[in-house]
Amino acid sequence: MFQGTRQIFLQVLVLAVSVLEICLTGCQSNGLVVASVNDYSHKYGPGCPMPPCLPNSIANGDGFIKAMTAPGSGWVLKERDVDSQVDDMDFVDAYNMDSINFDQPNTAISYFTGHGTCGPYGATPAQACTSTTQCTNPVPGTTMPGSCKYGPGDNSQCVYLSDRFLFTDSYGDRFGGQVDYSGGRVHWGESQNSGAWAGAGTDGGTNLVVLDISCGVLPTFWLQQLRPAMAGIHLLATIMPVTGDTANVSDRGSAFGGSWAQYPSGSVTQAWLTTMNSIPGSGINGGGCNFVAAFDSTSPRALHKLNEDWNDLKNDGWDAQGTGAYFVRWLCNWAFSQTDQTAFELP
Amino acid sequence: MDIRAVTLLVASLSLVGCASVDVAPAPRQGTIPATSGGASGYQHGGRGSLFVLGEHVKRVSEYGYLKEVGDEGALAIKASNGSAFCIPNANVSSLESGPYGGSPEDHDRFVRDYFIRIGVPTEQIGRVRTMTLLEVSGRSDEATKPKPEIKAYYSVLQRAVYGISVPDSFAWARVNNAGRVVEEAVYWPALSGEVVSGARRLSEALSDPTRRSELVSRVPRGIGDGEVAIRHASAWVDSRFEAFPSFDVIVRSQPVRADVGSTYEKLDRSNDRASPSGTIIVRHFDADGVEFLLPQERRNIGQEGTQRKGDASE
Repeated sequence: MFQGTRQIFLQVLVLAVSVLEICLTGCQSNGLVVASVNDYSHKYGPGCPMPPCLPNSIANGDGFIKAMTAPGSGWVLKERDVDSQVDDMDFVDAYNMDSINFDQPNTAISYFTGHGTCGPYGATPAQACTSTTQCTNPVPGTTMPGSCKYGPGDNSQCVYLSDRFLFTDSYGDRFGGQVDYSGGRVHWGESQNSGAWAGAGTDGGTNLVVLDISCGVLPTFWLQQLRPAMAGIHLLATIMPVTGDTANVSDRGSAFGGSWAQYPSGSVTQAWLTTMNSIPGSGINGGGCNFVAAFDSTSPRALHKLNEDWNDLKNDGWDAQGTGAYFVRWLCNWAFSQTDQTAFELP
Repeated sequence: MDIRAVTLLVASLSLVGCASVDVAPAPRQGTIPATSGGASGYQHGGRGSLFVLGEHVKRVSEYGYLKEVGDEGALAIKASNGSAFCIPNANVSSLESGPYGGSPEDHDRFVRDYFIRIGVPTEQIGRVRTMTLLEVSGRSDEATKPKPEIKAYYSVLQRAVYGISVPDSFAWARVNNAGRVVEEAVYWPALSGEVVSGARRLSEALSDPTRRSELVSRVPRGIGDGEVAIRHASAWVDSRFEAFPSFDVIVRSQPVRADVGSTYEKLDRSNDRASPSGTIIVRHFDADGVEFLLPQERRNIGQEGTQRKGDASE
């Protein structure tokens, strides 16, 4: 009898190990979705090279693709859309919208390179301040809270909370080509592994969203502006100008993807942040920071995401299960020596 | 099936994907000579580097890079152009140590001296720019904002030849409080005499304010008065190395008109106030005012081999 029990136990053990192995190799996402927009002439005026053309977006997105899909890489390009192929529905959480494009299942990295917006934010002329407690008069299009923003070469001034947008320019746009990812209609990363806690179902699945745009997030509103879009992604990487604006460069994507090719056991977060060191002018005109945020249900889980390597990033077993805790990391293009709370604002 | 069989099964599954590769030699570390009148370059490598690979170092060639990979990190040199990157493991303990020195200036000085010692040409080092790594964490429902903490500095050497900037070259490092380099990267190619002398001529020609402003005025939405630079193929370009004297003009790419949302379904009230902001672009002009693109800006892999929109749902 014991012999029979032992055999059953071993068979169950073998099955469990096999399932575990299959999950470790099978519960992985290796897809890439890249959306690059140079041409905004349909809605905003003359075509390239006249403003508001972004002549480097496609080169930038393609640089990322090229770096990530070297022979034998294991990454799979699921979607490469450019210019008018990119529409606002690709990003919005609804049936047959983001789940068949930017946030489709089995995607590891979703990369958008195009226009964002830096306003509305502060007043013109500026509301001078010495403390955030003075910032109580939101400008049109913004709401409280305010912040007494402080940056390099800048006089401190009041700024206020506003939603963040990315912009598309396509005949297929249904939302004016404006994707408000702070407003609750965008959810990225929801999957069977994350669960449906974000109220977005489980039909998504990307693990890293890269927003290579103007003012993807603004100081000091990272929680309010980014948390609504979190539905299971491991990381969100973007750019946070402080006294300047993002530069539309051709090599941020290749520098980021190149870091994977250089060393897959390196940190994904550091790979994004340090692109700043290797591209002309840091990729930001004026003062600003490359930015990565990780949210999850607990602090240790959020920290794990912030420190993921490229193999961890593929692992859907680490999809976020909530937004109760966060870790944020910046690399900023100037020297901080502050040890108090004045990194970005005067409290 | 017994325990040995289970062990064998696990071991065999775990070994999937492991392979060994024949490895070509890395480019020789040291000075890269230039043609007469040019600017020599520097090829980075492991010799003299304070980056620690750790134990069990092996050489591999993959994804276009020649690598030395140890227990703690890797040195990867791009086979096509020699750009070099030292990257630590994502969770290596050396990343947790604070920054070197008592100030950003201490860090900059250390990194500058370090790169000079291992071969970066002193006379080509322009400004040293500090980057600061900050981190913050907390509960999302906390009312008070936690204080960002300085985790590290990066010092970036900006290259200049005869005072003319070379913004596509770089040498940067992050040093921890033990004086150990935990990340670094170098791309410092040689520049030909033709390119350097061309840049010097362009700089001299544009010292005439009339000619300079005439050239700037040809560029719509130009900001500032432009800068003469030596531009070259970036560290991520595989094709033949190219370099150019350039008059770089910064342009703000702001919409000419903002009729956003006028004919489209409204997403919410914020539609009425959102419009793209003026992302910055650098445009390049030669001595005759003719615009040109850098190799990395000409990149376009086209549609071949990619899926069309919607096909992914199959």
